[in-house]
Amino acid sequence: MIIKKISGLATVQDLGRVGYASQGVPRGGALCPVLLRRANRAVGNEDGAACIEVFGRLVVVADASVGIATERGEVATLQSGEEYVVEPDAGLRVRYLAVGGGVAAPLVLGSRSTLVCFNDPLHAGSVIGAGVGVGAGVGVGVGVGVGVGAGAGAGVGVIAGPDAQGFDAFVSATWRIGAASNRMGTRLDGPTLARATGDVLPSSPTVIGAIQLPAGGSPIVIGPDGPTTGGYPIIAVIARAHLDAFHALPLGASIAFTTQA
Amino acid sequence: MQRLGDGALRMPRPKCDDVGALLRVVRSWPGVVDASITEEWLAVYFADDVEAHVEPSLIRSLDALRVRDPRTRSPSREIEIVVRYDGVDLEDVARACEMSVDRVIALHSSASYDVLFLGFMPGFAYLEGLPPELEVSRLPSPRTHVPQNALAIAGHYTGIYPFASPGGWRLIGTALDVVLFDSARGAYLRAGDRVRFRQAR
Repeated sequence: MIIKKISGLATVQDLGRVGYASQGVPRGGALCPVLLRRANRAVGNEDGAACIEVFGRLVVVADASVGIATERGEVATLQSGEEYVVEPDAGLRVRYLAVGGGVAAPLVLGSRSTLVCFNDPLHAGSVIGAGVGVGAGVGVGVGVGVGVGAGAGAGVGVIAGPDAQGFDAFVSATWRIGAASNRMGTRLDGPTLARATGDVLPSSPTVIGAIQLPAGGSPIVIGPDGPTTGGYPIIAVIARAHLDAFHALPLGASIAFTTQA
Repeated sequence: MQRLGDGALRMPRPKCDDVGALLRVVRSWPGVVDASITEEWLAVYFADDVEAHVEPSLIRSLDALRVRDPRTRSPSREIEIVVRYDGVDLEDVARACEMSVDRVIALHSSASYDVLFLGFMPGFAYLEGLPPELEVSRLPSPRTHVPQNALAIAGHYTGIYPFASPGGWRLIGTALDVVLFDSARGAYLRAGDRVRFRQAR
């Protein structure tokens, strides 16, 4: 299979690399593991096989007969020369294209996931091999992902962070998924939150779903490619069971958080 | 112990000079799949289907690591990195520190540094031991492009960017002939290593 056109960003992602945070290596992997699993199961792959993660629109063309599926459960067998288009979904920030046998990409520390400093995103002309199986990544389950998709932005559970300044103001506000969001972090557009003054914090380990409050007062949610450490206050952390639903929200979607004990 | 959500916990960094042993111990705790450390904090990450919880007895067991024990301690490596002092901020640093460029180079290359932790990006080591005369602030706003292997200082740290990236540290040089992150071996520098810089001739 060959990439014919990308409008946006397309990368190879699986369930990421776990165990290297102390070397500064982010977990990486699918922004929405539940959607990756759906695409993989539809094509008959193992849950953690590498897929193509698509922000925007992707056109591929088969160079041989190949089985594919998306996170919608749409399954197809492309014949050589046949095109397939992954269109943007108004209800989802990201989509997944699974290839029978899993997308081939170099294993780096147990994962085939693209990390921009290791390897480049896919581009027009990239050749997608398949049939390599799952990487040796360890210990990552796939979350339950309740209510992924449109309308899921109500009541994403958050737990107060260790630097919980401004938590009440954060939880009581309504936010939108910011346009400048990427795999490193999701920007939340909304009110500017006050920070305690003079709070130069020593670097702390982060976690996917940690909500940092930079000096400008606009929160950032750490994504799978986000830095493993950071010096901004962590005001809240999204509950694990709600991470897929949160990351599936399209840019501009409205979101309200609820406090979870 | 403080919660980092429902999948991770952080605690003050134990006063232990054998970081390798510390990380090995906490990674062996039930349900823990990863760990991360900074100058002040230690965090442990749990498998997705495991409650984030550590028995108090395990946390107390870290006390045993706090005293240097030559029988179990992993030897700290002594690493020399050859550098060229050609960073674009070198003259600004000299001005801010009210000394000559030669003096900045002499101070930076005569000190011995300890790798406190890695973070920010794969293989980026925070090195402690910068002579206090060289402490400078970060740039007010980060540069969009710092070249790969740039040698930099900020606050009481020095470090090398393993990959080209945005960055806010002051650039004083370039590390030569060293691969700071290898996709097969991982990070070159590890917490606990001792590093010296030698000026290229």
